[in-house]
Amino acid sequence: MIGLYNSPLDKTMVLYMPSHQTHNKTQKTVDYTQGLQHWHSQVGEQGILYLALDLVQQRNNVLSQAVLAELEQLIDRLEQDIPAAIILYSEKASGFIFGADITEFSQLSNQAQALEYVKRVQHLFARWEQLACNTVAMIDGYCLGGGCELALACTYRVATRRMQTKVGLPEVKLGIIPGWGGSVRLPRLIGARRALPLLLAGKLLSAKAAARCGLLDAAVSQSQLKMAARYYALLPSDRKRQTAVKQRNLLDHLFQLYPLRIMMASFISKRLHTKINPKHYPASYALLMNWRSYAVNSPDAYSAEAKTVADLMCHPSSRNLVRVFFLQQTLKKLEHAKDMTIQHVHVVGAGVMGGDIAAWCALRGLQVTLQDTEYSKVLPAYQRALKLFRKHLPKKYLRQRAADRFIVDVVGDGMAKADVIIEAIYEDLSAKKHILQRAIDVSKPDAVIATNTSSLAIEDIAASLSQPQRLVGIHFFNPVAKMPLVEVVSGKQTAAQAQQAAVAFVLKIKKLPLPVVSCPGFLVNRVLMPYLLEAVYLLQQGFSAHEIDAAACAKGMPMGPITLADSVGLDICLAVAKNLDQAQQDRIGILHDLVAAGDLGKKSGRGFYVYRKLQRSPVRKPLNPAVKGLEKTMPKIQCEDIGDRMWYRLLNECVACWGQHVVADADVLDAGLIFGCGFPPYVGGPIHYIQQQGVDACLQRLLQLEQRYGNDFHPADAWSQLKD
Amino acid sequence: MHKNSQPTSSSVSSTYARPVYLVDMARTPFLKASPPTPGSYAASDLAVSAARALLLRHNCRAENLDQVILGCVMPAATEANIARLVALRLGCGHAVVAWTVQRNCASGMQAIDSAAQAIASGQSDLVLAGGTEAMSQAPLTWNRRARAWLGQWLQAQRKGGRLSCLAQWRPSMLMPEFALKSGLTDQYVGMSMPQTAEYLAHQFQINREDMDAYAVLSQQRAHAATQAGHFAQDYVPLLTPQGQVVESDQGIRADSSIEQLAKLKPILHSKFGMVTAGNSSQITDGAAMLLLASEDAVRQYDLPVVARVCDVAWAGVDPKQMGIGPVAAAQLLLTRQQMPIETIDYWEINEAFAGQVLACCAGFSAPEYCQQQHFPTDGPYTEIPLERLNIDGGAIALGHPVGASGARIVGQLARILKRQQAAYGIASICIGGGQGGALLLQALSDPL
Repeated sequence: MIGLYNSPLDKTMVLYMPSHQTHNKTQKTVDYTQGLQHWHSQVGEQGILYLALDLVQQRNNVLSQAVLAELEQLIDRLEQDIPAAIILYSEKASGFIFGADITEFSQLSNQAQALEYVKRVQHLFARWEQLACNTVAMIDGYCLGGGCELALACTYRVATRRMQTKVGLPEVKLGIIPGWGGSVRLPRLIGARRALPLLLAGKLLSAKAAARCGLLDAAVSQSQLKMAARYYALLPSDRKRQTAVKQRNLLDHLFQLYPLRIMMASFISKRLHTKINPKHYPASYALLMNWRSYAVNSPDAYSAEAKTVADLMCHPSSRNLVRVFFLQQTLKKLEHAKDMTIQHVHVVGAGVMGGDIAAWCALRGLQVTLQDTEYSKVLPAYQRALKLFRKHLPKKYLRQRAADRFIVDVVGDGMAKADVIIEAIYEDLSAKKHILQRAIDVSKPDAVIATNTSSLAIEDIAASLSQPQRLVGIHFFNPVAKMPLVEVVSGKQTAAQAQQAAVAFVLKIKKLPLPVVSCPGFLVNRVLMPYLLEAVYLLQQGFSAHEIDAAACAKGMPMGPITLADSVGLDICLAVAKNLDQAQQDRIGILHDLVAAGDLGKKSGRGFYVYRKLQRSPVRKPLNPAVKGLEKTMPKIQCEDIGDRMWYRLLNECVACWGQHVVADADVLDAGLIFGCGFPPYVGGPIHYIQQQGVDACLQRLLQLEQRYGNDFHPADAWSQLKD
Repeated sequence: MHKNSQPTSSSVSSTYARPVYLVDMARTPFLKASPPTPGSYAASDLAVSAARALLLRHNCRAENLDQVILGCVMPAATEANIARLVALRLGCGHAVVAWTVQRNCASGMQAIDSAAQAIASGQSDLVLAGGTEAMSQAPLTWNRRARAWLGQWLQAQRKGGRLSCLAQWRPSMLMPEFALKSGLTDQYVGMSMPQTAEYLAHQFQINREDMDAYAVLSQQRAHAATQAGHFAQDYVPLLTPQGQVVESDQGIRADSSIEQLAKLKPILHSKFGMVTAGNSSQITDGAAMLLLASEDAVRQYDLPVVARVCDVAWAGVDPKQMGIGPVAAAQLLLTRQQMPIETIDYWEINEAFAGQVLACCAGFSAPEYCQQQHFPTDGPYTEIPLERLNIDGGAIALGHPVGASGARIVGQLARILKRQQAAYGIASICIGGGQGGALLLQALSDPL
């Protein structure tokens, strides 16, 4: 960290400075940051101004209104009395600048207010950019959003090559676009070809990648950071503009030209359509259109950017995405056992879940022992783990370290040494009890004893254990590496201490913990099941699978329920459905038939759809013949209802869960659905959606569906307690 | 029952100031080095696999170790001080020191010796020691002429210089050097290891039939031991990224017979030589790791003990007869301990070659030979009965990963002593270059 060995006035630096290089401006005595709370400055060797941002009483640097107001004062003083060069850095260990203060977004009630806010900062950054000296952003750690835009307004950017250093403009993930000149300056700096993919996906880059594409001037080791910053600071300032555009080659110039730009924009737009719906996520499209109309050199580009951001900020999509961002923060800040040391995880059962949990833990730096009865049973898990490491770890030595942490342990020696023991074997009560009892017997007294069961009740498993209060459910979702959410299930017998330790573990492996109360299906599966079963019932009634999937996707779900069932595995769906005991078995006969025929979904190559190897996500997947036979023409009014039939079963179950206090509150429920079920983030969560649409309106629609399609749509009791 | 079945700790006058205990041992299955090899493990991979399983079994953690000592003859270029690399990969942390020892074929035993001395002197309490070798990974290098030419080429600045350099190139420069082959040749007496075995066989008039018979015995014993599960405790199976599980030693041939071995061509003189691939140790990859502890460490971490390491002796012999090393070393050990040879219940003599093992057996009962070679003994000269020697098979069946074998035989001997409820055993090994090593173990039946 910079504070540690890069104090701006590092004595050794001054010591080795040849005296003849001393700049004539060294004698400056102006204190630029006098009276400012968040900014510190010191004039160093050769008149370089070291300018530090260090927010008072905050862990992370953000550009809040207060910070920006101080920056304005600072720029006033700088323009009066320009130093030889400016090096801008952060004094926070967490990183450079995380971006704008998102908490302030909600205070902007209308478009005009938002526009004023954005324009003011744009103007400020423009003044910063035009300061008559070199400005260098010295980056260590996160440099995101507004922070990255400020860095882009600097003449040069240098950053450390640490893993923690990430640079990028992720605004589209919050439903807006970079509004402080970033959407103009980035393509201007590195060319639209490289910039647009980054901007449209809100992608973050490592320092190395950022340096390769020209966003950074240098990616260096921590020990070289200050020297690199000094080097750029002391370059002759007339070279300033030249280097800013040196990255652009002929191709980039061509794409600036009007007709080519239009063609490229429409090409990108088409590609974008296959990924996101403009109605749900308008930000990326707006950004693309701005570039199409104004490119990067016209001053109109900045005002168009400001207007777009102001519009988007007031769009419900953005408001909801910001809400989702805060929901995520809420889960990360849940109460947990902070002082618990978690170094070693023992996983019993090397099936798909157990193996992937073990691999994920090893990837996240924990020592892992994976137990199963035979080595050959662990082999597939081992191979998948190596694949995961290859995907996530860029360096060979890091992959080797991860593989060294992943230990196959057929005897079960690891149990006695583990801090967390997770049982992930097949769903058999007595087998689970046996393993968990052994875990209690041999483990350290404060080790977490957890089960990854999805269909058995925690209380039933705990019933005859010698220390039932230690058992907690830690329910992962498949595929483990992709699903951010993990349910932490408390049975009635679970001690608060065990629950908090489990939450600490989940946070340690960088997943989002969702505390739930033990009930059949917990939260995610319980809510998902009526939705999936309704889809199967629709299929059975004669609607086509493609139509059903399309209807769900139109609501914003990332994949249709039929495809989802195939990826989860039909046997698992059936098991959960039976367990939840709410399925009229005749309505899902097709599910029984397929499972009986051995068509278990993606894993067996055939479920509702047929999957072939080497087939790269075709637009229209071929149907299983058994499913195709069911299709018939359906009345139009029913066709219009299919989306809502699935959607409302899901909402209704959410309300029921909320009413039964399966989770702490509506916010946690919304978070669970978004991160666990792929519930569309732009909607902000199911309960939030109902409240936005109006509880009464939703209830009316539900009652209408009940009238048409029967008892499944009977509103849950808790609807009456729900308020707008 | 053996006469020494009730060992008492005072019966051996150990040269050690503090007792040294052998806690446990683990090893990888030994993998054939000839293609197709499963996976392709570096020597450090093998050592890490074995050691992490070993550490997992006990109460102590990797960071509790005082040091890690590893024998390895030919670590890869990426494995400078391979012991340190292994220690770090095991999660020992920065503070645990580690060093690599090399005494050719006895490197693994040297590691145990060094560990035992560190514990005996009070320097260390808990030491991970062992050996590892990936002979399949032995490099092919450019020959000396090619290297010299390449150096010239890189230095040549002018075009003319390059041109004249090009003119000096010869096709012979394409001939690589096999590091494995050079490693298995004594560069002082100019004899390859099989040649020394032939020479030794000649000294003791051992013929091809004897060798093949012994090789078959080794195979049968190794097979029987595997079947009986005697190795199961030690094995740490390997998983390969290609999807194989290696659960047992690959070199063992259950169907080995004298007739089949008789068909093999001799290595040196295809018409009348005696040493064949069948009656020599196999070239293999593998690692064997042992955990050694002082009494304090045993109590602190509540560790089990299998045996006590009493003494280690090293002796130098004629490099041309390097295979006789075990006799010289064991005689030195027995003399030093003032133990008659009969008190040793079980022997491990590493099977570099069948002829060499038989020569060692005969050597113990050959006064003239021993005196002529100036071996340090006053007798009695007693032949070692085959029933007491390598009873679970040896390197002819299991393979001889040079750095690991010395550690493997010590661990194997400890298991045999325990199983047979015997008291004393000697593990000895011959060393290319003309040395022998011998290590005296005393079995311990009760926990401390």
